Amino acid sequence: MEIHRFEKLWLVAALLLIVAFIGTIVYGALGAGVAMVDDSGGTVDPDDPTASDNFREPGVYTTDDGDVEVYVIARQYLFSPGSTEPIQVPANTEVTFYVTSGDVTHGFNLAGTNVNTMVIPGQVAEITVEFDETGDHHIVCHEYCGVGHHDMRGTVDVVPQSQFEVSDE
Amino acid sequence: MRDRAGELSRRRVLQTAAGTAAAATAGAFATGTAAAQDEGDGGEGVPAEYDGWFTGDARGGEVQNYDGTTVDRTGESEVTVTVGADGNGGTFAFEPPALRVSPGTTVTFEWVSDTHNVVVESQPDGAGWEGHDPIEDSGFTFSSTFETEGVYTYLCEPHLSLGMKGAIVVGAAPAGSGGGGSGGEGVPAEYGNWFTGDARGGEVQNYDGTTADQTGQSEVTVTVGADGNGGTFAFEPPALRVSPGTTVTFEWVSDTHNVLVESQPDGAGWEGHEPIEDTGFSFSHTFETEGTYTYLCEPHLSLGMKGAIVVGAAPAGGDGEPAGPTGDGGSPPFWVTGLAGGILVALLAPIVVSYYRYWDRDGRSTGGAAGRGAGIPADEPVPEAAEPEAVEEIGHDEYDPMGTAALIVVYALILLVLWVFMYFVEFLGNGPTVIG
Repeated sequence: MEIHRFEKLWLVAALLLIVAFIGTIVYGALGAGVAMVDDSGGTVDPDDPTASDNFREPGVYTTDDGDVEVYVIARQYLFSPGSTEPIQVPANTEVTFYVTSGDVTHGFNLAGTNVNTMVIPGQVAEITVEFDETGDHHIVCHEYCGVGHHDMRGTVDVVPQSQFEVSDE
Repeated sequence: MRDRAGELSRRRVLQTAAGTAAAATAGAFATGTAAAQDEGDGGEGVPAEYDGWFTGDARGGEVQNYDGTTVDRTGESEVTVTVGADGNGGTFAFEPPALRVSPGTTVTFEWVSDTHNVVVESQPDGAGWEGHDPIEDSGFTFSSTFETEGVYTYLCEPHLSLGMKGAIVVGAAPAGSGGGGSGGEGVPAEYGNWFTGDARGGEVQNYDGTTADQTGQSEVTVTVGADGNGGTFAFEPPALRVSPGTTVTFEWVSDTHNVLVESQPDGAGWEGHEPIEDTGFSFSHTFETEGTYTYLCEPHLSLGMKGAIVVGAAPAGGDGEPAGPTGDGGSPPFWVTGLAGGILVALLAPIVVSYYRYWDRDGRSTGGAAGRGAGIPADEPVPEAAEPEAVEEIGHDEYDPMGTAALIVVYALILLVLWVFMYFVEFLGNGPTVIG
């Protein structure tokens, strides 16, 4: 088979591009430290998430090593906490969100960021985030969950470490 | 708005018939109703005024399961309100939404579906009702005893936007007030063809066939220049029912509108507001004479900016509203027909053209003189044209497809830019990101 030299050129270029794409993903995971949401959060009883050992009363907690843990239950149609009162977390601190659902499948997304997960009944979504800047982030539910879905939202309020007060202990 | 002439007249006949029957029934019961209302009410009473709490103008959505009536349970010591009953597009209703009880009544709230609470929105001075803030599930109940007379409003926080709101009136009804549907024969909501394009001006697109029932309220607002009819050219609500003596305030929310009276009952002296006004203007009129008033905005009449007000209670047994959907809705608008026709023509065009070409070639080859070269007799074969001589022959590798190469380079560059932008700018640049 005779292949024109131009064709050889763009075959090689296309292969290089594929290698570069894969390289990007590897860089994101190893270099930039982008993680995927996995099943490390474990499972809970969907009817009563707080009864399980791996899910606490919804609220904001600090751990012994200074990190922050936020437990959120999504329900039709609010994030608790988050919707009725904002979730207050400190900046420049590792914040781990544990999110589960009490009824149907919801979504948990900080609008405009990569903090984004599905919220499945019985399954705890565990995502660790570090906020570099203070300010408000809006939480949106991006999985259609019923007639009030469009109104299901909340707020994460990132405050300087000095102003952060633990509401739950 | 989708009335066809025949259907309209049929409905009007039905309405008239229903109205007559209802009037007779209402007349028979009128004495009994009046007696029941007067009973046990020596004092001034507490009117069932909710100040728009059940509409979408207050916090949260419109309460769809509130039909304008207040359920009267006065004289009972224990009353139950169902939390999470069917309504408002799911299990998002308080049942009954509006309730009247006597002072000292214990009201029990019973959860029949999940994720609801009872948050107090307003209550009379001196009342200390706390509702129940925590979110509870099916099977939960709590009770409160209402002592202070007045109107209490409450809501369910998770489903506020869906219209899960309620109200409790503590105290007897004022004498003479009918909580909707008072005695008499009632005024049916009949607008003729006023909301269709057959009357003066355009079709009123924001009229969905329903009349907003605001009877029993002393003050009602109509928005002038609300969104609708292809712009800010609507009266909201377009059709309104109020009680006699109600003051209706017209509030301008966009520019260049007026209110011209088209028709009104005999003896009524409403003048509307002819000068053209802008946002922020408002005027009020108190409607005393029972009947149907129609009005319009002159600058936007052709767009369908028309409205109507029915003064008086609805006839018993129905508001003269269209019962159910109004048939098939008639023929679609012209542009839909045009678009559908265009698509059909575009789809058929290749078939028609190829058929024509086929037929044409057929005609040529079977000896049609038109297809033959000039001067060739019909019984002789047409000679084939000679193949052109190659000017210069080149080998496989000697030919350079520069144009194709340039195209591929351009495509590759576009791909490269998209890749860099999407991954490095959009994804990695959009902090914060998930790190564990």
